[in-house]
Amino acid sequence: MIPVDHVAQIASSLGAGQSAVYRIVDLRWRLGPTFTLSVPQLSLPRGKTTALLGRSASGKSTLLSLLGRVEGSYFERADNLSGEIWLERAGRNAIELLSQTERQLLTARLRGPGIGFVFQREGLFPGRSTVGNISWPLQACKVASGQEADALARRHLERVGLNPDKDVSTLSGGERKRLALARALAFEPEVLLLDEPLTGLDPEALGGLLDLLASVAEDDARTIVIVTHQEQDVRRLADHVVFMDAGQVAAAGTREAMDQVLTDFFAGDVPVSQLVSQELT
Amino acid sequence: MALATPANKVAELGREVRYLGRVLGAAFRTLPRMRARDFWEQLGTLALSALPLIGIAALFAGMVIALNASLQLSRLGMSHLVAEIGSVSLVRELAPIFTALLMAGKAGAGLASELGMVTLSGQAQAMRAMSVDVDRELIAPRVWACIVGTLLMTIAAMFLGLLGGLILGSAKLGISPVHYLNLSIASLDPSDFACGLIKAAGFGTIIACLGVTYGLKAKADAGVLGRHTMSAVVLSSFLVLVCDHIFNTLIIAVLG
Repeated sequence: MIPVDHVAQIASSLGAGQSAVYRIVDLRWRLGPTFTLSVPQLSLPRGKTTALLGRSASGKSTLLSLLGRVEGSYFERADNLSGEIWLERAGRNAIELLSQTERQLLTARLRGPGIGFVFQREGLFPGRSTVGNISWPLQACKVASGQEADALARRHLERVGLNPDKDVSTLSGGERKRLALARALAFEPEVLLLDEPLTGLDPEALGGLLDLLASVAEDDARTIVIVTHQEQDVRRLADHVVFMDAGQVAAAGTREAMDQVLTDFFAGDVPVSQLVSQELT
Repeated sequence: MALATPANKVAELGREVRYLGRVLGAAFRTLPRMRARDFWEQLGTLALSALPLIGIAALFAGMVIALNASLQLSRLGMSHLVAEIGSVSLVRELAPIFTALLMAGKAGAGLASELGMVTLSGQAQAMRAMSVDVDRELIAPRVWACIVGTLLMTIAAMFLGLLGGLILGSAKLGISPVHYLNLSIASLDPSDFACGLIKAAGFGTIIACLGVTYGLKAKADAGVLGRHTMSAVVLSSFLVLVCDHIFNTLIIAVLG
């Protein structure tokens, strides 16, 4: 079992002099009789890349969906959810995300321009062109209009190395991921949340997308939170790592501080819950 | 999974009604901001493409009504009332009903399956993640196009049904087309058209709200999408038939 009493001590361990973009307090979301996401305290550093790691169904994507406030569906909102998630963007007042209604989030245009999200299932619009997949949401969200949106879309497609004339239905898996990333980046979000953006790609596509993400991560003004299962993603991109297990934070800290834990984790020999005990003793 | 107790069933029904209300509320709230282009596009997809189907069905329905009415009325020695009875029953009752049933099968299924795919493939979630207003972009154009489309299709069905009756009356019953037309016009009151059109608007609302609601409900796989689509069609058809009586009672009380 995870020694939960000790989680708070390690979960808020930002590097020296770092400020947090997210502060989570007493977050608890009961998703069924057997799974509860429980994060008593966690801070994610501003301008850095944080990797969320853990076994499947450990709560990584669930936590990410709450950070981006895209949990639930159009009708079904999160029941049995309590706690606070504070978003502290540079030069703006802190916002408690969970208290925001869907309408408030929409009116404030917090998602998209504020928080970008790239889903595991990309959520592309098949009836629109590659350019339209980016320019339409930009226009619908009133971030840019007409030609400006088209120009923005083409610029970001070029950045991710995608042909703007390609039909969405003919895109490969890697190209779809690139388009989803380009679409999120076109909003110039301060926070970028990535849910397994590199899963299921061939080595060539993986290398290209990893390079792209590394260049995106170089921007000090942008905070990235990435859910991943791959060691090379973490080694290349992450400044911070957070380990999840059974809906709880098992360990968190800078990548350097967590180096041995990471090595053991990817060796697959040591369950995450035991890593915490090892880390704390 | 919750047990199927009566209390849970009632709670589920309450939830469904709340979802329907939310869709209708979203359609009204975002009507001023709805783009005309989106509305026309949906009107073409949901309704106008059904015109050949509804038109032919109406033509044949008009002929069947005239034929059956003539058979029954001839036994009573009142064959001369074929045009009057056929026209009034078509405009007040049959055109709105069979148009609504066909629209439930076409537009209702189309809405539930299209929006179901939007939900299943993560497009709806991606729209939320980019602050794209789902109410304005997806719901309002579809709901209003379905309501207006059902109204337009009902009007078409009324006139094509009358034409069907006129064709049968002249070909089979020996009534001249001009005479049949004159009898129909004389028998039809504006309140008959109002009755048919009010019902058509109500049916269109039912079909639109159920189609959109079942489309946007969360679904885990294609099997659920299929079940939601079927539920939208079956429930729409059922409610059209049930509400027909309610609408009739209310309209007769008001319009006479």
